[in-house]
Amino acid sequence: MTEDSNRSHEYARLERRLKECEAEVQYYKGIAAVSGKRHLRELDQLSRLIAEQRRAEAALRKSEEKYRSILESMEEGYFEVDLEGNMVFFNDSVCRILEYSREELAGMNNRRYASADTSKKMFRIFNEIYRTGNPAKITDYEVITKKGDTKILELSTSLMKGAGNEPTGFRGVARDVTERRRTEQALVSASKELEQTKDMLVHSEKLAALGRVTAGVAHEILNPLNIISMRLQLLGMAKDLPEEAQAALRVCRDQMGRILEITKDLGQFSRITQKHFVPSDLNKMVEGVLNLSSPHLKQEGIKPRVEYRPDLPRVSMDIDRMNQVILNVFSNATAAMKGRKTKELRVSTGLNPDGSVRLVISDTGTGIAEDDLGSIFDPFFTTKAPGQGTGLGLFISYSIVQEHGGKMWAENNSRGGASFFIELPGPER
Amino acid sequence: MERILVVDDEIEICNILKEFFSLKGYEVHTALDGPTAVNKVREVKPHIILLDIIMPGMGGIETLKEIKKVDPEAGVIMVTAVADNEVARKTLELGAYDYITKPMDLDYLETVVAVKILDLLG
Repeated sequence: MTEDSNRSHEYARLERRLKECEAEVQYYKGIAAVSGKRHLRELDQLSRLIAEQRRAEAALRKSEEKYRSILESMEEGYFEVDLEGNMVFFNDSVCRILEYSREELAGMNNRRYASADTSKKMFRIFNEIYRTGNPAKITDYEVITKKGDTKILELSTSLMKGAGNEPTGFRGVARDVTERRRTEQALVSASKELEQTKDMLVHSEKLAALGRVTAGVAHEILNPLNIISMRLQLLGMAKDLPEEAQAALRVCRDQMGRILEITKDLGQFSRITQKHFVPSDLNKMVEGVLNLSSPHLKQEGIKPRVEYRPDLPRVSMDIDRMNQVILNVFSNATAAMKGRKTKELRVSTGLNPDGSVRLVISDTGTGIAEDDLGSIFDPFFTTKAPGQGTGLGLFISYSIVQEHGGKMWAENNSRGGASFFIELPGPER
Repeated sequence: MERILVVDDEIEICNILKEFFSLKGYEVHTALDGPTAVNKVREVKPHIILLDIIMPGMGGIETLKEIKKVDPEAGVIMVTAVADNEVARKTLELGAYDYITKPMDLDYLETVVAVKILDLLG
């Protein structure tokens, strides 16, 4: 019996124990279920993160690819330099522009490829960028390539900042504008030549117009002038003419002289006289005019300083007319130097590279006012008092030089006076 | 009395020259154009002819030629407004004696005329 009661005791105890174990298992099963779910969730998240990371890397690689291909395919140079100006990063175009290889260019300081003036200019500009943080555009950055050629670049640069917002260097884009600058310059000089030609054409027009007007006018004025002159002469011959009347007649005669001067000058344009061009020596001609003017110059206290270029080629000239031009310029110079402390007339002849001959006459007079520079060769332009000249001298001179196919212009010189330049085309034209 | 013919299309010029030379003792005739001048030369046979170059119709040069046909001996002095070497040379070739430019200097004109008259008469 005890065995049975022991056995049933044991069964009861085991059953109790089984029930406890089952409860424990249930308990741990419960826990496991919860934590397992969490771990699963964590595993899930982890694999999602890994997938995202991989996608981000791929996107970054793709973006890097894109920017690399942009950098390499663009014609402009992209560069990054450090604060000392050493080349830190650059695309192939920079190599192409400067004509250095990648290895040579890496770490190269900008003083190597920038000309001396450019370096100075750049130093200032980069300083500004560093100071203000503002980007800058540089329109004429001169560089010297490996081969030694000069190129002109247009630069847009800005400041590069590091992680802590501190300046680390400069970055920018450079465009080769050498060809464009050259074309621009050619355009400017072509435009200037066009201006000059236009001026000459306008002058010819004025000349022609004046000629048309004066052909008849000169004649029309001379006849009444002649009649008045003769009547006055006749009046003057009367006996017992009171002094006032005689004085008045003299005044009239002088005034008529003035009218006559202008009429003679005007008559020049309507003259159909033949021009007589012969190959002549400019030096001899200038010497001739100087000799002619020598007494008058001496009287004015003017000392001429002459510099002839030896062996000037003979150029086609109408001697009488060119003499007139030189005389006219001398006369203007003399008038301009009246009352000046220094009276120096410098005359020089020279030969230009294109074979044309040049004559320069400069004085130490009062010079030409900026406003007047464009008008001095106009007809009737004069800065003298009324009665002191017709204002046609320079107009006629310019026309004569033009007839010779040459150029005439004036500039103010460093001695306070004016310099007149006359160029005549050389023998082979 | 020595005879002068003044030829000019400007009547005032004819008047003053007539006045002046009359004062100096000459017999002065005038003509306002070429054809009249040629007729006067035929009629009057002047010693000296003052001939304006620029005239409407028959110009001075033409008139000079015609006058020389009528009276080759007459002394013709051309009067020109503008000193033109070419024209001057041509008139001298055609038989003009001298040429003067306007405006005329009366004293000089008188001398030139007097000299030519002496030349013609002497």
